[in-house]
Amino acid sequence: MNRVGINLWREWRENRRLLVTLLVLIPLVGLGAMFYFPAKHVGKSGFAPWMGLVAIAITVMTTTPALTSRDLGRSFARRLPGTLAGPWFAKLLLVTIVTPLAFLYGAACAEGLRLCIPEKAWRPTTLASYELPLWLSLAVFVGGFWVQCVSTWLRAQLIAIPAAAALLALLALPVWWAVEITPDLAYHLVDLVAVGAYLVLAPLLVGAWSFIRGGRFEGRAWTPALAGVPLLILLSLPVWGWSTHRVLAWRHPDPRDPGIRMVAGYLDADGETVWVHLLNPQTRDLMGRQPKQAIPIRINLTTGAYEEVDGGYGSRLSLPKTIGTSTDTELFTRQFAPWRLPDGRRAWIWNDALRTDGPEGPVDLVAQDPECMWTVHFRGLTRVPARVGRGIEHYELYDRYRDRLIPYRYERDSLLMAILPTGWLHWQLGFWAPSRWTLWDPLTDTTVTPPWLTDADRVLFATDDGRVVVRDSIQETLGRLWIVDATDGTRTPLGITNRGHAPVRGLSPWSSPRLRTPSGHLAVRIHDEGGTTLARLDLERALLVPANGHTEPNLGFDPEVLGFPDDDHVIMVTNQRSIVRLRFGSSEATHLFPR
Amino acid sequence: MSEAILRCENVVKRFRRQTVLDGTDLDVQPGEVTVLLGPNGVGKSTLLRCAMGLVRPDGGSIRIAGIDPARNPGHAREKIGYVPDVPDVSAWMTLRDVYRICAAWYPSWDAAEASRLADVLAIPDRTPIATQSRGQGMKAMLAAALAIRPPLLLLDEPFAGLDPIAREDVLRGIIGELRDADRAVLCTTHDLDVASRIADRVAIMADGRIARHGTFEDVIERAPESARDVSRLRDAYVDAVDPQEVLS
Repeated sequence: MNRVGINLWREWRENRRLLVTLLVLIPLVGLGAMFYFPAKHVGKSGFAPWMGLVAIAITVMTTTPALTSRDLGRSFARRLPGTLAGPWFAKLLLVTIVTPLAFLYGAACAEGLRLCIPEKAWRPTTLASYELPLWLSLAVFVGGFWVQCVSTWLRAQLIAIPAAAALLALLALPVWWAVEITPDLAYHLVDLVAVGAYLVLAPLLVGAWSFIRGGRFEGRAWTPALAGVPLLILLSLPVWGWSTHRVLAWRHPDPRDPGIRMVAGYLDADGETVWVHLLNPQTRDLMGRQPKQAIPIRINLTTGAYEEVDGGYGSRLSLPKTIGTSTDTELFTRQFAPWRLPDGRRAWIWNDALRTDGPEGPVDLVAQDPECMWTVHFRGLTRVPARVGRGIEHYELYDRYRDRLIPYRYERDSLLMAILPTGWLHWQLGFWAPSRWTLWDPLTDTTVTPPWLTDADRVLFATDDGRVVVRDSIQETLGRLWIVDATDGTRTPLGITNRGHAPVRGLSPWSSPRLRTPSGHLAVRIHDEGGTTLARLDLERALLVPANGHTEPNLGFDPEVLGFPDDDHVIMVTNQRSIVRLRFGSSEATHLFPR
Repeated sequence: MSEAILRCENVVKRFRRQTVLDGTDLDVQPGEVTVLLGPNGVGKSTLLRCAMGLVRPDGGSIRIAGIDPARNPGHAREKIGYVPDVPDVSAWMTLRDVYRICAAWYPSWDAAEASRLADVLAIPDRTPIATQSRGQGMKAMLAAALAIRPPLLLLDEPFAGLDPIAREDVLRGIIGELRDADRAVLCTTHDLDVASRIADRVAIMADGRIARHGTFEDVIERAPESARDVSRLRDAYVDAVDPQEVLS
């Protein structure tokens, strides 16, 4: 038999009694587990893997602490020719072989017990109702390497396990920190492999070095530790460095990094500063959800300089609040005021009140009621200010043409499409009869069929002057656009610059209220075969003026438009990465950031 | 004189603040049995463990057939048969197990010699050594060390702790096996009777150094009296070391 065989044989002989004991102990533990725990929830299928895990844990706890220390005293094995490498690898091999076998044996014992004992008699463990995560078994398995490593440093075998746990906790603290803060680690294969390699290789290398190098001369108990600990620190430095780098990179991302996305942005009133949030699109937390944390930054489009604002790392939902700390929040809200009153004044919701411009500053449009709050109601196409209170379902919608709050009667088969001077326009869904348009007068509570709409018309949105924009095809096909006056039924063709009254696939307003040019023109999306294009709606000229400098298939979210420095330009984020300035009515596109 | 198989020059070893070996010089020649005498704690075992490469000297040099055991313990140990003061094998090991391990590690292992020694010394080969008497255990260790056919045999107090009958039994068993024309033996002991029966040369350690070293006759001739027996050696020993150490 060669030395490898002899070393293995010697380890087997050294541990034979213990391993045989485990053969008896593991089924006994399984038997106890079957009867001891209360059975509340339980599925039997998980019992075997859990017993496998318990078997691994028992094996690791009983075999690894004593493996190395017995050879580090005055022993026959130590004074043999050659180094201690052979004995070390034999011990390692023993752990590597015995531990998976223990898992299989534990699982087999569990299955055997389940088959042998009548089902009514046993009560599977509460643990068995949960799926056994694979990583848990692997963690216990790898934990054995750490215990083996630490046991080379200690003469007292009993404390090898707690000492290994404490050491691992200490070393893993930076990794935990990185994972806790940057929870998408589970989706970065390279990082995962690197951390896994560290957790597996570090105890093997350090243990081997401590045992072989640190244990080659007789000395004090901590002599192997003096050899191993510096190496462990050396191996851990890259991990700690990686953790620190990862956290710093997470908290302070570079907006020029191709992997970083810009979301939820605004153009400041000065026209050259934008506020955006940075987000890593690959980010997922351990539950597979996209975390909401993002980093608000301010970019100067003139110089290209950028800086984190309000402490950086924060919430993507708090950007208006973030900006509010630097500017007047109501001013900001008013700047993007969503509604226009018939007299042209702006209206917006601020601090649980519906506000408008007064002669000396903002005033309440509707007297405040402390028991109510204001929100934006939308169902169908219309977004209107709504007051809610005094009952969860009780909405009152503000009718700007009648200047009053009107209780909203929810009907399942009726969609409110627009509030018009002539009434509230609904799309009545027909189940037994064809769907049709209705116009409800809230003052008289009468409903009529609007003669100025046909069933083929599709109402897209209401304009500020009380008209509606329609497409004359209700199906998802090409249709021409019209501006229809609800009072007299006048239809005005809505043209597109350089295209005339050409049919389009669709037209939709942006849900965000801020999408108005400084003089109040609405911004809309033209959907066509080539993609979606942003356009300015000139009601006076009945014309859509597209910004042809950028068209993309998925132009669908408000944050992509940052704002309008003037009536002729829009600044937006393209591909979630680049900030460009487009000119309405032309193909001009100026790249602004990153530079 | 032939080349020394073991050469220690100015060897220094300290444990914390205590200097155990303080410039020890010793040569052991092939074909000779050298007995290293000295009181407990004087550094005899430490010197042997330094020679085995198990303890690193703080100074000086040790060579086993020209090999530095601190740098190359593997090769040095191949040339050494070592018998510790107590059997250091695992509790489950039998003589057969020890032989199996030694056969794999020592290129010079002589299986026939091992078998012969087991017979001559009457050692049971299937009984765990730990369960046998101390004398049987020491004979087993000695048999394993001799079957290596080493050029250097290091015996570390092999008779310590044995009762007189067991000691006599072991001594009779091995005394004939020690002598070999090519083998050097270094045996530490503080048993002067044993020393007088096996020694060709005697080295007496005191204060971490070799206080006297020479043939048996040389050493005892320096004694004040003229008798050529163990009492002469005792006198030489007392003369070489601090009387307080002897008494202790």
